[in-house]
Amino acid sequence: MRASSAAPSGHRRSYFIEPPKGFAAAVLLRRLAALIFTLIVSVAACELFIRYADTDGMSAIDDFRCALIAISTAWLAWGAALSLLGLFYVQHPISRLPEGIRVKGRTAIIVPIYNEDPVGTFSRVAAMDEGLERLGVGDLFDFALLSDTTSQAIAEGEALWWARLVADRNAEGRIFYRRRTANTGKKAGNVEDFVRRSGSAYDYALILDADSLMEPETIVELTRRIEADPGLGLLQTLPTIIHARSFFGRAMQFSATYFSPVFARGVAMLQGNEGPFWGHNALVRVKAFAESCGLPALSGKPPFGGHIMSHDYVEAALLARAGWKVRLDPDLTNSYEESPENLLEHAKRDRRWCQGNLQYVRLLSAPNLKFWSRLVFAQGIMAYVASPIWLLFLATSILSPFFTPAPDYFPEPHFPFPIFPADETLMAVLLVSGIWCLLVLPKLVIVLRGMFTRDNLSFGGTIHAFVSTSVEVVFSSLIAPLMLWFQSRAVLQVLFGADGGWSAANRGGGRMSLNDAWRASRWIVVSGLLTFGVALFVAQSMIVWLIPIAGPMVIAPLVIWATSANAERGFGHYLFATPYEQRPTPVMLARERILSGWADIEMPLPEIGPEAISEDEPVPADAA
Amino acid sequence: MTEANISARERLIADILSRAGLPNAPLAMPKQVIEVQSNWIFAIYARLVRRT
Repeated sequence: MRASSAAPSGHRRSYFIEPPKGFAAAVLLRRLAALIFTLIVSVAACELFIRYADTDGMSAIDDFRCALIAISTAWLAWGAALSLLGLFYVQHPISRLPEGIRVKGRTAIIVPIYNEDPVGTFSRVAAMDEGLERLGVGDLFDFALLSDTTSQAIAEGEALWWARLVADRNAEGRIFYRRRTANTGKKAGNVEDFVRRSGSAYDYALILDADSLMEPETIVELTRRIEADPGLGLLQTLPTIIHARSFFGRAMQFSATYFSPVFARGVAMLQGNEGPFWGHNALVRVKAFAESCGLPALSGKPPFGGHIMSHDYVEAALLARAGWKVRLDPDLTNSYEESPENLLEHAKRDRRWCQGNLQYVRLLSAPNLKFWSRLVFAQGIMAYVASPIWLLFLATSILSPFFTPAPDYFPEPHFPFPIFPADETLMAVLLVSGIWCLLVLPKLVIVLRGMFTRDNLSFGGTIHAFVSTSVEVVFSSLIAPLMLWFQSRAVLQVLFGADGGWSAANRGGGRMSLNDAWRASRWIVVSGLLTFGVALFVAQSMIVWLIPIAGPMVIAPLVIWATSANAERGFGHYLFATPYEQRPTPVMLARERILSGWADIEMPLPEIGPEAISEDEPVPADAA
Repeated sequence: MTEANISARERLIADILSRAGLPNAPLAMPKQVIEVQSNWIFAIYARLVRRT
C-alpha cells in the first residue's frame, strides 16, 4: 500500500494489526448479499404490481409504472438491507496505540465557519480545549477557526470573541483564527486553503462543523487509532444530534440517536477500505488528504459544473483511489452535531445537498475510482432522485385509467357467458404493505433488539422507546409526502440549471409562524388539492389510496407550524427521550457552563496591547 | 457611534486579527483528475436540457 511510506515516526514498535484473514472476501460477500436482497425485493414488488395491473391488461403506462416501482422499492430495500446488516455488526480488531503510549503526531482541530453565531461556536471550542487540557494532551492539539463569513457584523463578532476565547483559554499561538475574503471552493476550499497554508505543521486534522462538539476522550482515541495504522487516511466517527428543542428537531434527534447507529453499523459492515466521509467529525491524515483531495472545479457552470458542493464523498473516494484506507468506526461515539429545528430549514439544507449529490453524475465515471466509491456516488444521487420517481409513479397511477383499454368481458369467442377480471386488489394491498414493512420493520426490530441488549434502558425503557418509535413512524409518514415535494422541486431546479447557492445553516430558533409556514408551503397545498381533484374525476377508486400522500400535503402548513413548536416540556419531552438529554456528558456540561458565563458579556474585549502583535503572517485588516 | 469610535473599533479589530493568523507551514495540494473527457450520461442530459 502506497500509504505505508507515511508511517508516523517515533514509536519503537508497531501497533498495527493486520486485518483478519478473509476480510476482503467477507466484505465482498456482504456486499453481494445486500445487492441480492435488494434485487429480490425489487423483483417481488414488480411481480405483485404486474399481477395487480394485469387484471385489465398491461398497457404501456403500466410497464412504465412497473419500472418506477422496481427502482423505488430497490432503493427502500437497500436501506432496509443496511439496517438488517447493522443488527449483526461485528467489529474486527483494530489498530490503536495502547493506553500509556503517548500519541506523537500533532493535530489541528479545524472548524470552518460560515455566518454562524460566534458565541455558540467558540464556546464549543473552549469546552473541547478545556477537556484536552484536562487529559494532559493540550500541547498536541491546535484549533484553527476558519471563517468564510460574509457578514461584516458577524465577522467583527468573530474577531472579538476569538480574542475573548484566547484570553480565557490562555491559548495564544494554539487557537488560530483566519477569515477569507473570497470564499473560493466554499467549505472544501476553506479546508484546502488551511492545508496549503499550514498543513505541514500537523500530522492529522480533525475536521469539524461549526456546530460540532466532541468528547476529548473521543478526539484522543481517534489519534490513537490513526497513528497505529499507517495506511489509514481518514477515520469517521458516528455523530449524534444534540440540543434539539422543537418537536421536529427532537424527532430527528431521537431518530439519529436510536436508529442511525444501527444503519451506520450496516454501512461499516459493507465499507471494506472504502468507508464514508460525512464532511465533519472525522480525523484525516494531513499528508494523505493533501496529496489526494485537491478538488478541481468541474467544467461548465453550476449547478452541474463549478466547485464540488458535496465534497465529502468525493474526498473519501479520492483517498481510496490513492490507496488510503477510509473507515467509519461506529463505536466512536460521543461525537455530536446539531440539526435544523423545523421542516423548512431541513428542506433548505436538503436543497444544497441535493445539488451537490446530483453533481456526482459528473463523477460516476471518474478515472480509477474503486467500484464501491462509484456505487456510493450512485446512492448519493438516488437519495434525491427517488422522490421524483415516486412522484412520477403517483402521477402515472392517477392517469393510468386514461390509458387502460375497456374491459373485455367476452374474451373467449362463442362463449355465451361474461368472464369478469379477477379482483387482484389483494396484490396491491400486499405491495403497499411490503413497502411499509421496508420502512417500518427495521425500526421495530431495533426496538426489539434493544429490549434484549438492554440498549433501551438509556432511552427510558422498552415501552418508552416503543412509544417514541411509534410516534416517529407516524411523524415521518406525515412529513414524507412534504419532503417528496421539496426534494422533487429541488431535483427539477437543479436539472433545469438553477443554482441554489450557499445558504448559511440555521440550526437554532426553529419556531415558525403559521403565516410563514403557509407562504412556504402553499404550493404543496395546491398540489395536494389538485391530486385529490384529478383523482375525483379520473380515478375515484384511487382516492382512498391517495389519502396518506395527498392528505398531509393539504395540511402542510399546519404540519410545518405544529412540528416547529417547542417540545422540551410535558408529553413533548416524554417523547423522543435520548441518553444525552437525560445525562449530558462532561463536554456538554462544560460548554453550557462556558456559554452561560459568556451570556452576560456585552463586549468580549480582553486587554490588547501593541506588544501582543506576533510575527505570524497577518490577516489583512480589510479582511474584517 | 461616532466616527472616532468606529475608527477605534476598526483599529482594535485589525489589532486582534494581526495576532490571529495561522502557522506559516505550507503544504502542496495538487488538483486531482476527476473528470473524464467523454461523460456520456452528462452529455445526454446536456443535449436534452439545451433542447428544452
